[in-house]
Amino acid sequence: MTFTRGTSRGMRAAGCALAVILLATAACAEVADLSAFGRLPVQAGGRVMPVDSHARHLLLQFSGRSSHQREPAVNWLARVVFAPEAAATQKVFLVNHPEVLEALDVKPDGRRYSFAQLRDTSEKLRALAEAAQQHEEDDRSPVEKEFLRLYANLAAYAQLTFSFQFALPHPDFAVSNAAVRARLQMPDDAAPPSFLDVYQRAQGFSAEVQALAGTKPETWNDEQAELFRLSSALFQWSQFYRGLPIALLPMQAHGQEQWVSPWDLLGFGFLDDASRREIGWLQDLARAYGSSRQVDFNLAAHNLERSVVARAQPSRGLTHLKTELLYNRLQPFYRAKLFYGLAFLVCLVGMMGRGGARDSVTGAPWLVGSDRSPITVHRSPSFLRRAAVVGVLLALVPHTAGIVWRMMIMGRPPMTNLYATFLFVAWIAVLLGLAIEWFQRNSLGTLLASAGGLALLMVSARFADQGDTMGVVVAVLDSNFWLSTHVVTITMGYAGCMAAGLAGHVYLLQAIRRPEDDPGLRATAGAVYGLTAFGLIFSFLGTMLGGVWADQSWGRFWGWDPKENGALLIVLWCSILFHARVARMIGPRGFAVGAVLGVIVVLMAWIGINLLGVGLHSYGFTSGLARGLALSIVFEVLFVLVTYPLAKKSGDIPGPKSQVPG
Amino acid sequence: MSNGNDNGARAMGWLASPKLTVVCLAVLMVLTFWGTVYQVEHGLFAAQDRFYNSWLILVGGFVPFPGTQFVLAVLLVNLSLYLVQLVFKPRVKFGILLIHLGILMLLLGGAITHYFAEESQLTLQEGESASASASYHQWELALWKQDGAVRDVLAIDADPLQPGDRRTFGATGLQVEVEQYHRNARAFQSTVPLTNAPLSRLGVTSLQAARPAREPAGNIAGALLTVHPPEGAPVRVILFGDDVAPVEFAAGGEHYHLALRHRRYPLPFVVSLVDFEREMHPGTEVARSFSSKVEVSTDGLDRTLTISMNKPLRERGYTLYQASYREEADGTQWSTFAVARNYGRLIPYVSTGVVVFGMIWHFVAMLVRRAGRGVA
Repeated sequence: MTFTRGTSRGMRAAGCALAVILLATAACAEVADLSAFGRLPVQAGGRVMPVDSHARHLLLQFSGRSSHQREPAVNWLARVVFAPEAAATQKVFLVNHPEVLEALDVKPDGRRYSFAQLRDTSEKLRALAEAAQQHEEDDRSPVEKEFLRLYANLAAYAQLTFSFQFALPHPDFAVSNAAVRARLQMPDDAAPPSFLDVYQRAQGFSAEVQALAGTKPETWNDEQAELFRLSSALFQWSQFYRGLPIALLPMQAHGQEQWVSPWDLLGFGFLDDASRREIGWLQDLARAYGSSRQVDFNLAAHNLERSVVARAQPSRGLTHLKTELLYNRLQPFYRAKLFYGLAFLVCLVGMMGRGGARDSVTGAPWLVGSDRSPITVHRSPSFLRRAAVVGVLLALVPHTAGIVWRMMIMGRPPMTNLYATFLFVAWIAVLLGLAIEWFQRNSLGTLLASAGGLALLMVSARFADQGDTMGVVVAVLDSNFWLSTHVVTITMGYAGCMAAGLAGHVYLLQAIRRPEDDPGLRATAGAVYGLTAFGLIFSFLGTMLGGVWADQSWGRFWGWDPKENGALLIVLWCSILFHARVARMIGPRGFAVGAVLGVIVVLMAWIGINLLGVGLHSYGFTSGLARGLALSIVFEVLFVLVTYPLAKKSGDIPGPKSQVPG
Repeated sequence: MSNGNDNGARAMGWLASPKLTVVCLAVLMVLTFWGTVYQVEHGLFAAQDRFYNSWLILVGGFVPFPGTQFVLAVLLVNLSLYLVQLVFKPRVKFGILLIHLGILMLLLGGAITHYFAEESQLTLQEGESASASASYHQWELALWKQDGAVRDVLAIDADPLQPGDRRTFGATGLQVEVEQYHRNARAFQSTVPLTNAPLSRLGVTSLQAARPAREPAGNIAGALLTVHPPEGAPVRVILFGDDVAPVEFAAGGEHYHLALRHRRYPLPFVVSLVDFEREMHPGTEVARSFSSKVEVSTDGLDRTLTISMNKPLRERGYTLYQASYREEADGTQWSTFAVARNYGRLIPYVSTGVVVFGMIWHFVAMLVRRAGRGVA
């Protein structure tokens, strides 16, 4: 946890934020269009990304949302760094536990609080966080974890407020002595100079100040005293503001590139002409922001961007800056959700209207029925069915683009964390639904695709604060052929079983509502069967490829490790269903119930296993996840308990007679 | 007689039936889930021991429940009989046959690995060499005479030792009598000088049993022994596994070294760690990769190569994987390799291919058949 590293500095910084905010005198004017600022490259979370992404990640980390009051995150970040006093009243700190507010003596006022509301509690919070820190991570209570999380966030926020202080006017550097002002060629305007203004002129008087060090202050004249005061202010500031965010500037040291904050670049003194110019543009940015000069702001940002991109060593993040900006701006998964939702509504309307329209289907290949005659199924009105398919296809475009963009930006297969697996599972489930629609043409596939895509993407949004950041992964999870294929296949297995479960729901509801519609039931049963088969093939392959990866990486194929066991459970469950069907222990109704219960097995393997482990560091995340999981399990069990007896046995059709036991 | 045949046939039919498969798979699911939850509290090793490597589990100490080994054995019988039955069928579905043959291979491969594979580890400091790997958690008493580059070591498996046991070190005739043996021990030093203190390199004067660690690799064994040489006075010795150096003593005119250490597995080659390197993700403390440059010397032939995550060294049936590393503040680095020797290593690869091919064949054939019917 970064907290331990940053604790003392964080504590100090949090304490000092108050002082800065009281002292800062900059006007609250701001620039309206921050897109040029959002385009700047920055190194964060182990890779280079646009400031726009970094701002989203920070805001997600603090508030659990990627925008603030309908304003892009980058606007919020600009306010925090360029005009901290204006940002202090914005409610961006998510507090997950009411006991935290009670302990801090803060009046409950919704779920999010502003820096201004919390800053007075920083000493108390610090003491509570330090006490929580004494406990082992496993032994911390949810409230203690929340103290730590909130404190780390406050400290990180306070550090952000200092990141551009070098460029903002400050009374520490006000020069009252006219001779000094003339000598340093300071303009005579009202605003005091900034740290940088004095720093850039320090060469001119450093030797003189050094000579003063051995003499008594009483012997100094006014000019010397002023120079000495400025010099020590410079020294104190450069000592104090070290290791701060935001790593905007690349620095070459010992043949290696390191991205550092402007503060650190000034502190290290590795200033070549280019980086000197870049720091100047950063100051221009801050000043233009404070005086609402949009054109100057954009100009400084453009110059800075061009210079940094030209100077930095090529990296994946740098190459895909534009892609990432596009990804951020278009919000592909949000758009996909909209279209899935629309398609789902159209499907529902179509199903309501399915009165007597019956059609004979000749090309339904995976129907389980043993008779050879063409079967008749209910069809939704043709234009509604088509409209729903079009809706799903429209959703699939941004959905696919989003996944591809993420892969391009990360340079990895699409599953790097729980969030990303949800996106991918949703994608596969949609494709499977479309495949079923292609074969059956009775809206069942569109229903599965739209409902599955919508539900999974909605659930994924809950994990965005964990996964949308596209962070780096540890060595053993780094790009590897076997790992990639394992993760992709096992996730496809999840998708197959989830889609089968969804179709199982449809079957049971259908068996209650239209028990007489035998062909319709058979069509759905066929879909359940085919999807479960898909799930079995891919979860088996995925499980085995996981073994291959483990064997390649550390020399054992199978070790009964929780993640392996989770995958095995899915394989076992699907195998049980197929064998039970062959043994005539269950019919289509039982198979559908099995597919629905399979959703629980998948959720356990996919999410439940993560909850068994330790190291999930956010209270909101863990408890929310556990609650969601428990609720889904209860829902599925209740669904089966209610629908199974209601779904008349008359809706059942016998299993295949020609099946060889196996 | 015919009745007996009938019964036999019925029993055979039941043993080969998919119903038995369903029961076995369901029990296996219960075991898998139970063992996974059990790991949270008791650790992986205990779960493997209780659920996965066992034939029988006693729930609450007296209610018997089949262990994974038992269930897998029944599944093996079920599967084999089913496959035998298939031979007598007039029409056999090719996909189904492949799937079940593949699973049979997988189960047999698992058994080979379970009973014959050897797993150990090797930790080297930069510049160090070794020709033996060490067990993760099994201990041995090792005895040798000369200390040098080449030693003839006699070893006794230490884990089964009980107080009162006597063991002889082969031809030396040296006999050890066990007074105490603890798989996980705590060592104590007396604050007052003892007149008859047992011999110990670190001045340990007594041992106490400690609670076994969650993972057995965390245990440190300790033993209090009396060594009886063929001639001369016996010597009392305390050995503590935390100390890698042996206790030295003279008996019957010979100079001996005795150590309690993780069981060693000789390797048919010598490995030297030349350099260990790790690379971090920029600006973070997350390791991007780590790798060890090693020199391997087999029958006098030296070669230098790199072992890294996902890139093991394979040599003479042994495989060395980059497992972990340790770094001291002064920059000294250790690299740890997992060492595996497994004759059944490739079986799961082949069987996975067979099963998946069989599944695809079966389900695609089914799809095509149904499509054909639909059109007809």
